[in-house]
Amino acid sequence: MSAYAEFDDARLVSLMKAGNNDAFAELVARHTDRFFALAYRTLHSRPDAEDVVQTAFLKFWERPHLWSADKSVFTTWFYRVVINACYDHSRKASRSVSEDSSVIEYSLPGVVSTEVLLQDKQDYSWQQYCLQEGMKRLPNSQRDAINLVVYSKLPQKQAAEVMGVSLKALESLLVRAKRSLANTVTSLQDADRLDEIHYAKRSK
Amino acid sequence: MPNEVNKDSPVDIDALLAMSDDIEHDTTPLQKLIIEQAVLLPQKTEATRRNILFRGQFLRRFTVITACAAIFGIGLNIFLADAPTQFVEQYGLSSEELDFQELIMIEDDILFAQL
Repeated sequence: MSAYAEFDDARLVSLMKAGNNDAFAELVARHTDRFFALAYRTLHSRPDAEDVVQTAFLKFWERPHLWSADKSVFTTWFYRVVINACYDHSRKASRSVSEDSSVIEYSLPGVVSTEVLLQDKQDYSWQQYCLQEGMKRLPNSQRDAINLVVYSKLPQKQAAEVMGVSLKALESLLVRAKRSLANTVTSLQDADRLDEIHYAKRSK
Repeated sequence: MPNEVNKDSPVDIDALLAMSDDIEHDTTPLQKLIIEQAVLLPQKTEATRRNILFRGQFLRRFTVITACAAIFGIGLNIFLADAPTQFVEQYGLSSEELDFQELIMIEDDILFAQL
């Protein structure tokens, strides 16, 4: 167990500002899992999520004064940083893909390649696959709300603070997101049933 | 499969979300990589930040002062270029071959004459 394990985030960052590597190492060890999970759920790619978390932490190491304990809790602020970094990463990826005309399909939130879908279909049970598909189709704000409240298990107040919206707005986003997810899962299931009927008819 | 949901059951999104909240991923190698890279990266300390801010401020002030001086210079130039014409128009003199110095002398003469 690290000697810094008992220090809170604010103390670790103040040590970091003095150039203390061990304090930074403790901060990284303490929070990487949760920020990776958020990045992965936003980008749907493990390597991309790792890139984003790594870049975010290293930028923070270079500029620790960017966070001030007076303004917000460290994790609240860093969740926002990671979300922004994810969208930045997506934008850069889409730009580089559009510049390369040889690439036809690319996986962005909401746009999924056939290959990825088939791979996903093997990994998840059917309804979970439909749910993941629904998550990819959600608008960014609704997906962030689900990721923060449901998956990262943040209190709604903190999630609203991360997203820079009011508590009411967050509640509304959650309701709309769940409704959209239910619709997507239902429609994909219906489509699958139609496919099955069609396939059964053809095979007779 | 423990997470399997009956395909024909009505959609319970909360239950589905609750079932899919685990991401099995070992971030230990990532943590090591971040820490190793941080050791190699110089930290932009408060002193460096202030230094950068100071240089930025200095550059901004220098630019503003230079711009003001340039505008003042251009204005003065226009005023001086225009002054003989105004003088000539005011006293009804011919402007041919008069330079600014002569005009000043003429103005002095007129002033003295008025006194």
